[in-house]
Order: sequence, then structure tokens, then C-alpha cells
Amino acid sequence: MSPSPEEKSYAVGIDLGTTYSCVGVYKDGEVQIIANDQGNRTTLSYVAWTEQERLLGDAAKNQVASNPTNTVFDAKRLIGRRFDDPIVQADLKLWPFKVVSDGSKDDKPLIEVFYQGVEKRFHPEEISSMILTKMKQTGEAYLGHRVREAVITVPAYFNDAQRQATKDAGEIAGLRVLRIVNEPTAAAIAYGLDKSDKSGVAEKETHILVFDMGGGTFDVSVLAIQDSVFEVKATAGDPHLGGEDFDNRILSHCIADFRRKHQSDPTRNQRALRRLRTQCERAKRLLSTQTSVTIEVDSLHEGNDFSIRLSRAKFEELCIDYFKKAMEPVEQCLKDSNLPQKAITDIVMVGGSTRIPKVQELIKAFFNGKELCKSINPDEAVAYGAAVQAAIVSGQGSEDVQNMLLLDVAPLSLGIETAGGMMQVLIERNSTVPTSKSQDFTTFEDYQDHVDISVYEGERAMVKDNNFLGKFTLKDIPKSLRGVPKIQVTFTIDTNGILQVRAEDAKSQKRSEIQIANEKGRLTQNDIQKMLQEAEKYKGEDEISKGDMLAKEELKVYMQRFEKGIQDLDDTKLQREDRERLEGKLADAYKWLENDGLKAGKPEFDGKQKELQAVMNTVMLKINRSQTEFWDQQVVHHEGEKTIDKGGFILHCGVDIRDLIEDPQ
Amino acid sequence: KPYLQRCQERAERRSKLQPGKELSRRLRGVELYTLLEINVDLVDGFPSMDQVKDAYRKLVLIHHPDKKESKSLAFQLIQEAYEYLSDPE
Repeated sequence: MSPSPEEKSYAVGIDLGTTYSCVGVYKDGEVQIIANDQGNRTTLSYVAWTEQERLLGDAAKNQVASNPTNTVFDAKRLIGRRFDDPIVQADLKLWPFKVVSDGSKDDKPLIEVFYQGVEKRFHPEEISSMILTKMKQTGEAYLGHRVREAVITVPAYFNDAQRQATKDAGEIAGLRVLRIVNEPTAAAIAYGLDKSDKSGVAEKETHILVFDMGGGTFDVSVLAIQDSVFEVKATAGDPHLGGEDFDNRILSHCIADFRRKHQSDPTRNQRALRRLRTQCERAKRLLSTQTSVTIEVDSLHEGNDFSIRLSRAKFEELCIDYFKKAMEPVEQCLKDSNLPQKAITDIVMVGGSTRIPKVQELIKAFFNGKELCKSINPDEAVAYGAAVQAAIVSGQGSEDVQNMLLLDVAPLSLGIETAGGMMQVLIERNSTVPTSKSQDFTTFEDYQDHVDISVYEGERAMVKDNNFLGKFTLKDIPKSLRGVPKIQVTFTIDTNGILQVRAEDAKSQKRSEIQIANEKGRLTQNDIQKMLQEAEKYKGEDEISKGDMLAKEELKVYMQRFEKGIQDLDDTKLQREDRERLEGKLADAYKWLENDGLKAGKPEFDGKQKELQAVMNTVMLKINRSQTEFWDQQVVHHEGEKTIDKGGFILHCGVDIRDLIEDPQ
Repeated sequence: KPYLQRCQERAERRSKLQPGKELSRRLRGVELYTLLEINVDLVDGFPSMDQVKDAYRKLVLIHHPDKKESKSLAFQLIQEAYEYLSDPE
């Protein structure tokens, strides 16, 4: 069913957290944080399958003790990672649910549960999409309108694959992801608006540091704020440090104590572990206000009760290495921003874990006793900022909001592998996005006809120490002596922080490009479609019907192919007027998809696709007629060159062309 | 002298370009301060850092891809010019 055209749709901001998620919307000139059906303003990021049904959010957590193996959480700690990632392997031991590898070369993790007696496997993206669906429904229930667009936040220190995967999760949930925004940046908006409400718009430039420690991730960002421009100066962090790690430390402490007292080991008893973990988490929270608590679980394991007294000092002792580790990114971030410590006017604390007194004490000590800013809600600030950004990007906000601007940065350096396994950085970390940087490279061997371009992210000098993102090959380079061809490699980062790499040979104008995350661990468009269908099964009648969705996806895929087709045809084949006609049609179609496409149904999508096909066919017919002539030219061209018999040499490394050109002096 | 070379020399004079510092090819021969819409009056010396920042903020509010009037290349050039000029070295 396609909705009536006059129906309004809203863009929301979603903070998709490791343990809790939160949704907000900008409406009538202010941000509303929306409470879920249980009346809570944050929703647990849990999904559970029982004999009868699928449960989302708080309902899933409530039954966790009785159904631990089918209750899934922490999807954010899996998303965009490989199964063999050491972090995944370590987490695995602590999760009551089962995670397996999908067995492909990408080694994607899959979460295995039993639902209605059948074994089912899910990608982390699917789990996240279910939570996003829940947040979307929460928004719809409040607004009384459909929610089709969203800004989703990710930790600033998330890498390319993790960002892409989060974007995919949004698509599976049937949301158009307007933007992926960094969590500390979103929190800074909340701070900035709060400040300007109180004291008017800041005339002078102020610098703030956002310290964002949540359930699973940790970020630090330094921003410069003036007027309504929020400029991120630097960012640092740890994508795997947060409240859950502290829970685990308390849990291990309790288990050790239980073993000593009762000479029995509860680690294989998932139900016992789950019950104990819940109590540990509770104890941790209480220790932010009390100096000691008692953790008590009746009949924990083999009929033995468990009880232990935990003081705040003991808790701090258990986690002190984590707390100290969190100070490193603070130092790094400040250094990268080129600002002296005293230039920071406010330290904004966001995320539940910043309530821990020891964390506050350490950061205060780091800034020589400076008071911390606690005026914004640490649980809701990120969703608040995301809602404002949704209004900015979708053009729904008031004039004040329209005049705001966020300038974010790329958290990690990006580059390619060159001779000797060295990393040649093209985009430095903390570069303002969007950005695009090019550099020239050349071949390493004589008569080489293709180069392999391997893309990495990270700060180390050797690529083996950095994170591999993907690899592609530029083929059919005209053969010549080494060092002669000029291959221009261009890195482009969009406003979501997602990378695209292009290589072009200057002479033959041959091009090759990838959107990096497509190559590694990311779901293919096909996978996403399949999951979309899968997700449909769970969706209520309030969702767009499957047919509409599929038709739309099909149209999108066709349009991508169409676009690529035009690019692949060079000017000898495609006349200028035809190219302009095709490009015009495509641009129209994109515009249509952006506007009318939101409320269109299957017939409209199919119609649009037919329309495009018709234009393409006429042009292709014309080209095929002159095709033979074209191929003849190609052969002549090749014979004129000196070639060798068996292709070229594989270059696993480009060489910086500047090293080979002799110094003009 | 050829036209392009004259442009480049003029740009160097008026934008504090330094030989050792990297600037992408597309900005060579461009007067960076003029690009940021700042008047350069060489009698009074170069514009202050604050002037550069203010001009940059004014321009990104118009040219950032989030804004309607934006052209992505414009933002790139502004960003690059700003980074060059605001680098203390």
C-alpha cells in the first residue's frame, strides 16, 4: 500500500548504542526525545526470540534470565568486524548467545538463535536493523506519521566498514539514512544549543572537549564553536571500551569468589551467568552514588546462594587500567587539535559511564581541577544532536537550525600500499570531510600492464600494522618502461565519512574504482535485499509493502548500472548529445526518486525503470551499429605498441612518481 | 613572461605562498585570500588569523554540501585554502 501523497513524513535522529538506543525528533522548533511503549526515554538494544514471538527492546531484556541463548545484545560490538577479529573472539567467550563464522572469505560473523524450534542465523546488521525498527516505531507512535528518514550516530572512532554496516542496517530497517553522524559531534550540538539558549549565540570562538563513554565505545573530540558553526578539530578514541567492560570485570571478580567459596564453577551455566551479570551491572550503577553495595543472587548455581560486598574502592581497583587507558585518547586528541590545554573552555561529559566518580576524577585531574560540564543529559545528548542534524539535512527545521553547520573529520589516516609494504597516506587523520585528495603513482616494472591498489586505514608506517580495507586492480595500462605511466589515485570521503577510491591512468584514461567497504565484510546489495525481505516478515501492517520496496530497490540497482554504463562508454562510442540525454534522464530519475519516490508504489517504480530502459536501448542500438569500426581501431592501436607475450607483472605496490622524476635542479 | 607564470607569481606575492609547503595543483596560481573573499592590502600586511577564520565560516555556511547552494568543488577549494592559510608554519 502506498500512502496518500499529502501524508507527512518526519526525519528522526537515532542514537544506536551498544546497550541503549534513543530516538529524538525536531518538531515545532525544539527537540523531543521520544519515550517508548514502556515509557522509557532510552530503549535497551536487545532482541530476543521466544517460542512464540520476537521481542524487541525492554521486553527482550525482561525475559533474558529464562532465555539467555536466544537473547541477543551487543550487536554494535560485532558490526563491521570479521569473525576472526581478536576482539570478536574475546567477546565471544562472554556472550550467552552463539556466534559463528559464515565460512566465506570475508569471514563475517553470524548470530545463531532458535526461533519456533528452527535454527536461524542473523548478520549483526540485521540485529541492529531490528533495533532501528523498534526506534522507528517508537517515533511513529509519537508523531502519528510515518518515519522514513533518519540520521544515525556512530562512535567517531568507527572505521569505514563499521560505518557502512551501520548504514546498511538502517536500509534493512526501511529507513533512508540521511547521514551517519559521529556521536561526540552530535553531543556537541546539544551542548551548543543548550549554551546559546542560556547566554545567546556565542560571539567568540570557544573550544570544547567532548568525553563520550557509553556502554561499549569511547570517543573524545575537540571542537571549535563559533556562531552556529561546529568545527571538529580532532577526534580519538577506542571503539571497544565502555560500561560492559567494567561489568565483565565485576563478573569475573564474583565468579572467582564463588569458586573459592563453593568449589564449583558457574561459567558453563548461562542462566546463572546472566543473572549474576544483571546484578553486577546494577552494582556498578549504584556505586556511582554509594560507596559500597551487596551483590546477591539466590540459588545461583547448584543450589548455592551467592552474596558479596563490593566497595567503590574495590570496583575502581578492578577497572583502573581501563580508566587510565581512557586518558590516552584525551591526550592524543588535544595534541592533534594543536590547542593548549587552557584553550578548552568546557569539558562535556556524555554517555552513561561518565557517571563513574573515578572517571570524572581522572579527567578533572588531567585538566588541573577544571570543573566538568554536566548540564546536558548524558543519555540523551547524542540523540538530541542527531535529531537536530536530521532537521538540518532534511530541511525541516526552523531558520536557526538551517543556519547551523557541522564540520566533521575522518578519524583515521587513509592510504595505499607502496614499495616495500609502506603506507603512503593520502588523507591524513582529522581531515575535514567531505574531502578528496589525489596523488600520482607509477609502475614498478617495465611493460607492466596493470597495478593492484591496496587500501588501508591506520597510523602506522607499515601497511601490515594497519587495517586492510580493500583491493582493486587498474588494468590495461599502455605498456611502457617502468616509471613512465602516470596513475592518479584519488581518495574521496563523503559527509558520512565513507571512503571511495578511484585510480586513473593519465594516458589511456582507463579508470577503476571501488567503494571500499563493498570489498570487505560488507553486505552486498543482494544480501541487503534478501534481509529486507526477511525483515518484511516481521514487519507489521504499518510498513511499506514488500513489493513497493523491492520495486524501488530494483529501480535503484538499475539506475546504478545505468550510471556505470554511461561512465564506461567513452566518447568514441557515445556521442555527446546522447551522453547528455542519458545523463539528463538519469538526473531526472534521481530527483524523482528523492521526491515522488518516497510515496510511490510498485507500478510507478516499474514504470520509471521501463522509461529508462527505453532511452538506453535506443542509444545502445545506435552504438552497436558503429561497434565493428571501433574494435578495428583498438587492434591497430595495440599493434603500434611494443608488447610482451604474457601480460604484465603484478605490482603489489605503486611507487610515488615524485621519487622517480629527477630533481629539476 | 607567460600569463600563467605571472599569475602564479602574483598569487605567491599576495597569498604568502611558501616554496616548501604543499598546495594541490588546482590551487596553484590562485590568490588564496581572494578565494576566501578577503581583501588583501599589502600595505597593512597580511590579514589576521581571525579574519581568515571569519571569512571561512561565512563561506562554508553557503558552500558546504549540506547547504542548498553548495557545489562540492567550491567547498573543497575553500577548505584547502583555509587549511593552508591557517597553518601557523
